[in-house]
Amino acid sequence: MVTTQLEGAVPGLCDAVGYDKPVSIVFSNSGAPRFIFKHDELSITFDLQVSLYDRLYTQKYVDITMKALLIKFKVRLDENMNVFTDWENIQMDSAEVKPYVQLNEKLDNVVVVSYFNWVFEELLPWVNENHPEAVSQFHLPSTFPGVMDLKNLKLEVRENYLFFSMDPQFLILENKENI
Amino acid sequence: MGPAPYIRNKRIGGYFAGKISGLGDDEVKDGDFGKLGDMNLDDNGAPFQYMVSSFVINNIWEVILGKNQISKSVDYETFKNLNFPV
Repeated sequence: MVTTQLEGAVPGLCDAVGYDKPVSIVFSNSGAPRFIFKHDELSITFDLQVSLYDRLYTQKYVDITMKALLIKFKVRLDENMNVFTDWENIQMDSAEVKPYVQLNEKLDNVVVVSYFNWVFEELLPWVNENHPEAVSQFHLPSTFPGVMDLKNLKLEVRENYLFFSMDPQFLILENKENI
Repeated sequence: MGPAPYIRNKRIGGYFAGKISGLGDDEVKDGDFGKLGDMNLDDNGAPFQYMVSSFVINNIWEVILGKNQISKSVDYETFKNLNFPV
């Protein structure tokens, strides 16, 4: 991502730091996420702080706090113990922007929200097609060496809870000295 | 503790109650975020079953992240290699 792509959210950024400048990002949680289970659909809502820097993190450009981000998705587990989340919708309710560079234009939080909700619409098909690891794909261990192997693990979202089931094979050997 | 363990359909079943320490006044108690599970195990399903409610998950996350901030840096090159569609 470069500064020019962010001009729509932060008008005046390019005048302040230059056009097409590479941007590095730091994502931070703001409080704890909240999960909602509803039949087979899972939702998560959270506040996220996004700090935009120059390429080498020597100058901070702006902090954007995204409030009440809501992602609705479905969860599936494949036979290789990979959890996939298929995102159905992502929306942000409001935002706060704090600039660290001198901007000549006044910031409008409504513009920021509109811009990122548009970005999220672009993001959805990309996430569901690529399933980037640690974003919409997570790997679960199937073996705990010397303790157990997990087989037939299933994961479901039910009315108001997560349901796991498995057929574990315990590997712990009897230690006769302790009998 | 909940009801005592039972044996039914050649299976041992039971429920347990736990305590999450460190919540204080920020405990999630009700509403969409604090619903309990239905406590209804399937005696004919997989040998090992486990249910976890939004009440439990949200309170665990509250302890972990409620007052702690964890950051993840994504530098320009990494972000570029993701082929982000914007």
